[in-house]
Amino acid sequence: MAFVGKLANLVLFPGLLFIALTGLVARAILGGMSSVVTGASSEGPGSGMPGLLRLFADESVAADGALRAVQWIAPVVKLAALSWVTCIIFGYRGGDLALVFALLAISSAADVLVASCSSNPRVRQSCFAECARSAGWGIPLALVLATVALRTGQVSFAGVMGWQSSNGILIAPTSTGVLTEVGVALSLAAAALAALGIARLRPLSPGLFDDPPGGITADMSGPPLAMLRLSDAASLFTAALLLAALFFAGPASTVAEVAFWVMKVAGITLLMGLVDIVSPELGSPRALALALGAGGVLAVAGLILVWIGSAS
Amino acid sequence: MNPLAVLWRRRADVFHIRMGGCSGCADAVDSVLRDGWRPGPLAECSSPRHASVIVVTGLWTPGLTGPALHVISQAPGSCRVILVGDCALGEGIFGGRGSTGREAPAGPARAVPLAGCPIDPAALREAVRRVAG
Repeated sequence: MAFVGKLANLVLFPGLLFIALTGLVARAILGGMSSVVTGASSEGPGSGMPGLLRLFADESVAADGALRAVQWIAPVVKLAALSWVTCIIFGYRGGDLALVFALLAISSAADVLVASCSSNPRVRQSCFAECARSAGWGIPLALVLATVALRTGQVSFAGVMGWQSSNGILIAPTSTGVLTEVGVALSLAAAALAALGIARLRPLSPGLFDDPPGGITADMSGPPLAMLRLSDAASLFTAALLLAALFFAGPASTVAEVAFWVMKVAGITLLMGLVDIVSPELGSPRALALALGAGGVLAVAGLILVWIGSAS
Repeated sequence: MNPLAVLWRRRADVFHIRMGGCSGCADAVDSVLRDGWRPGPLAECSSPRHASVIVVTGLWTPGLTGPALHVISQAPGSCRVILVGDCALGEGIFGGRGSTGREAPAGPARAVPLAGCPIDPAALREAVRRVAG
């Protein structure tokens, strides 16, 4: 029975179905905002629910020489990893910060795998971009997680959120000194940049479906493409949720507190969408330089300041 | 803006194959697919694997027929093909000049003809909507 419960968490709530549907709504809102501000842009196949259902019903055209199994498995692995992350954040599964990082890395590695296994040279070209994106969010986020662990003294996700429930959100002023507060603020900026990378938003990454004619979607069709669309939507929601949980967590025992959580995640999602709209689309080397240059430096500075603040 | 309306928006993903000729029909197709400031019911897609409709314009010349049919074969089984303009139908002012003529249109399965020189963009929009369902 416990196993069925775990499976239901992973597949229904707060796992796969929940993050996919929430992510699709978030992507639709951001797409609408983008079209209002910058005009119609390519949204790729399956952008609306009817299109997505059509993709699920459609055939998957075999790619010449490509590892077709990878096309089917990679989006599922990505979705499962993101589902696990949300289960940990919602408190349905135990897990430490390192596990969350590893699951997010697996979700990114799935995209790298699809790009590297393709026989299509235009898809393989995007392998560097996928690796750059993974490194771009991965290194700053690892440092941010170290900062959060150092600041709270907790390594489990539940511990970090519990600490914030007791002591207030992470960036709230405390008696530990200004160095710690500045360090946490710098880490928040680095984490925001990493969240943009996870969610595939500009300036760190062009969207998965607005990068014609290359990109890992070019080879895919039918259900694998639909699952990739779902995983792309899920990554947006997961990134916003992760940011809220790391820096703005609070209790969620009453309806008002849950509504407060919803507003936090929605606000972060909208802010990320606004950054995406006003940002230029950078090439992979420049995006990597920005992610590691700005995000990495901010994260390192934040870690050092929190370390000094904690030691003093 | 109603996000649910955006989420439930029905769109046809169209892949355009542009072949030989004066490009008048191809430009008309591009203008229909890229029409407007807001996202429309028709959207150009970057791969035939994503298409629900493939639009072919221009002459089926001997050099282009094979590659075009290969591209069409990459589309999912539910994808429909529309041959747009007289040239794509083996007729018109370029008909018979290096064209494979009427042989090629028989290649794509379930191809829908849309005659005209130049074509009427409104008729094209309607044809794509009808074919895409």
